[in-house]
Amino acid sequence: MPDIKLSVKDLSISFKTPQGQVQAVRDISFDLYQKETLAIVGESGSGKSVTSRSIMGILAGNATIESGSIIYEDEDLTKIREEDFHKLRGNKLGMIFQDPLSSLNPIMKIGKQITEGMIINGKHLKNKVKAKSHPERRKYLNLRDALAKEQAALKEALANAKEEGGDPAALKAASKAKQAELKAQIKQAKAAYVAAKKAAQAEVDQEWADKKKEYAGKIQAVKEKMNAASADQKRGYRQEIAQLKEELARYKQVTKKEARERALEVMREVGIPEPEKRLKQYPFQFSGGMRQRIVIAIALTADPDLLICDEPTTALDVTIQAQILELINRLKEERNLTVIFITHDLGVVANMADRVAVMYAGKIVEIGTSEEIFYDPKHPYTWALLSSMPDLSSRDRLFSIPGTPPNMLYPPKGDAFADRNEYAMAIDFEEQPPYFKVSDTHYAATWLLHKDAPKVKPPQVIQDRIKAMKNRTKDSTQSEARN
Amino acid sequence: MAETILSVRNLKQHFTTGIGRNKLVVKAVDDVSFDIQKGEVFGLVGESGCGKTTTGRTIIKLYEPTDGEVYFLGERISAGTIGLKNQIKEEKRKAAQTIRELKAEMAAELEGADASQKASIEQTYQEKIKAVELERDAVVKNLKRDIPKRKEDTAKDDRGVLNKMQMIFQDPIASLNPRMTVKEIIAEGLRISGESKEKVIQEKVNDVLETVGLLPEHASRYPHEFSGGQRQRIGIARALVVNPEFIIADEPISALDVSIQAQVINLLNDLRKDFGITILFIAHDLSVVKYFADRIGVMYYGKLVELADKDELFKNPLHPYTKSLLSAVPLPDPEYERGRQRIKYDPTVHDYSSDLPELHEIKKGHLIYANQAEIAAYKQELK
Ligand SMILES: Nc1ncnc2c1ncn2[C@@H]1O[C@H](COP(=O)(O)OP(=O)(O)OP(=O)(O)O)[C@@H](O)[C@H]1O
Ligand SMILES: Nc1ncnc2c1ncn2[C@@H]1O[C@H](COP(=O)(O)OP(=O)(O)OP(=O)(O)O)[C@@H](O)[C@H]1O
Ligand SMILES: [Mg+2]
Ligand SMILES: [Mg+2]
Repeated sequence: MPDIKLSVKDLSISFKTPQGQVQAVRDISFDLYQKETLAIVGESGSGKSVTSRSIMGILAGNATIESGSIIYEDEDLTKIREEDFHKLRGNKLGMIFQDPLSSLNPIMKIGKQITEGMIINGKHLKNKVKAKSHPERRKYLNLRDALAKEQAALKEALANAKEEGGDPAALKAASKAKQAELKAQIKQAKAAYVAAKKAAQAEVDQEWADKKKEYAGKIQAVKEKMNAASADQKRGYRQEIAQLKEELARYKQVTKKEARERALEVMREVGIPEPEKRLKQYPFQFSGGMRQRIVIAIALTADPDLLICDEPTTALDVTIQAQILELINRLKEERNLTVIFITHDLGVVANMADRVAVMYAGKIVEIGTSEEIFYDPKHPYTWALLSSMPDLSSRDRLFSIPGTPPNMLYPPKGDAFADRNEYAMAIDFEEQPPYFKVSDTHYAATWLLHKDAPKVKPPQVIQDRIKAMKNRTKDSTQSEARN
Repeated sequence: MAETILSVRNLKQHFTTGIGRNKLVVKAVDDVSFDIQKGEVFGLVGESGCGKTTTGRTIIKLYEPTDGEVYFLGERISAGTIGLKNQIKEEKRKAAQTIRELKAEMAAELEGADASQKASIEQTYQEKIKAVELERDAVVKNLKRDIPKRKEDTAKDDRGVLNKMQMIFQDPIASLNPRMTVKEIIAEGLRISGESKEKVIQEKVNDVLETVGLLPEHASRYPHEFSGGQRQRIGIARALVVNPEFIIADEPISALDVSIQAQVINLLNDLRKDFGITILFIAHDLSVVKYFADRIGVMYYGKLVELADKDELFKNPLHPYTKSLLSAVPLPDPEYERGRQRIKYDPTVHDYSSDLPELHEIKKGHLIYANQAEIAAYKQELK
């Protein structure tokens, strides 16, 4: 079993609106494995973007995480401080947003938008100090959290004691003892943290001083040569000195020049022609697809190890889309990237995904490997999804799901899809189906999988299509064999 | 014979940005011509940034064309003048050149001539020069005559005609005013076209919301309260509510989930069957374009490189860019996707140094942008 990179458990998220609480994500759980691509597909408004934004820590102001956790590198992302999140976003978590225009600043030149983050997050020496003292800081902060928890627990216990009868004094005493112990530990941890920070700072300062000395020597050597040189040679030496100074500066932080070089490089990588000129343009002067590629370029400059792509290619034609997908796959190999890929294009899903999660009305209704979802789908919503899209040979009227998605202010009691599901049974309106296991990797939340349910087959379109797929694969392997 | 509803003639839209070293001229649309018949769905596909949106926006008069003309419902609704001006400049330059040559000839002849012949030589040449000047003036006058007419047509804001044309925009957020409720956004077009009865407006808004799969209670909300796909449907509702005859749909479904996509495509199909609505359908999902469009135009870098009936295009793609495009279509079949081979397009395969390309009808209804040598090769391929 591959390592788990990120683990979402029982996550529920709601939004406060004048009409009431919109329950956008309802109790979802999934694991994300190292280096895999998990595709999330599903109805518009089913909570795909909200889920991914919660992983990035960028939910809208009216959002509340009602319950659950998101564990990443032993930390619960629903609980960490904004400051830490900010750092994670700067270098570990990358996201390509659904709407390229709203994630670009309309009045800032494209070049600046690409380089800005690199410069802000690229203070190498400062980052080193932080990284060196991170374990101590974490320990200190965890203890503080533990103290807060203990205080809250005491409050609750006291309230309970009042209602149910109990000994408040004893409770208080026990808790106070614990708190005192924690406080002592906090004091120690804090001292340790401060000391670690100081030591790290001294170490890094020393490193920097050494570097400076090293370069001062190098520069001096060139200067000496320059004094004895002809006017013509002098220019060369001057360049050499500038070069050395730039190298030194880059040791400390990402310089403007470096950021610009890197920006041009990623712009080429995502296929923007004449990047030198394009750097100086504004978003409105780019086509929809080019703006999308800029957003991708920005995400790539940060060197993330978890990349969330929210419909990254919807604005792109198939050839550029293919290039971008190949680029993401290549980076995945090169940088050990783990990817969450949200898209409506099932062709893209088939191309990219190792596993697929299907969402409906704030829930994951089916999850499995790509093959399992395309060749052996179990949930009626997945069936509906697969039968709505035309393929290159479709002629008939497209299947479209009757009715409208449920109002998430008042999510239905049973299976949220029941109202629109021709296979719905009485129990679907009463009780939410649990996950039924289809295989070790394949689960679906539908009562149809219950042992007492009538055996139904997927709709004819799907059966036909699966048959056609199997034939196509056979044909293409045959024709390959022939060639 | 079908009736032509929209006619685009040699349309050019060039953007110039920056100055000096940073000057960048983007020929977003460069000499594009096509006709759309009443009731048909014309699919426009092509590389991102090749000028599809710009074509649409120029047709609906959001931009003044650099050159070329657009006819809608038999009326010229916009026409660029820069091309004409350049043509005039070229005429004048050509004439000046001829005159210079004539004068040189005359000087040469005069040198070796007797004094008695000089007058008659001068006379003949003066006449020749005069003739060139007269012809130039006539041509220029003729060209110039169309300039004010073009300007007038472009400036004319004939709502009666223009209201029959609507656009669904590619960027749902940028095109919705964040401070207006959904109802106001949708009702705006109705109000502009003169509807003032609140009850009628409310009814029409509710109807159209239902048509696009939203709920009446959504009418009082603001755009930011919707998911990406829901916002796109608001844009579609806004275009549909004024009962247009012609819709430019710029990637109307790419932000939608497939079941809503199906709903919107079925909806547009119904509108076409029931009301004969004509659609310019800009999209990049070729499975959808193949399903929905009648004819497909393929653009590459501002040029229309191939145009054909959809079945013909998928059966006999000729232009190497079209081939590359078709090979890039991902299908919902993991096994097949693993083995799919993509053909890459290399624009340098064309040698247009002397043998110049043009749009050529290689087979009835199948147009291809190619030069003579390529046409010969494509004909071979079609056999
Ligand atoms: N800031 C907000 N305030 C209120 N409701 C919101 C807000 N953001 C999202 N929602 C609601 O939460 C639900 C989930 O939205 P989300 O953006 O995650 O959908 P999605 O699955 O990404 O859809 P799409 O495919 O259309 O992008 C929707 O019902 C949406 O209306
Ligand atoms: N207002 C503008 N100013 C300057 N350049 C522009 C402007 N609008 C578009 N362009 C340029 O014109 C070219 C064509 O853009 P257009 O938006 O028409 O492409 P498109 O085919 O619709 O692409 P996409 O599929 O990505 O939406 C691009 O190079 C773009 O940068
Ligand atoms: Mg979304
Ligand atoms: Mg466009």
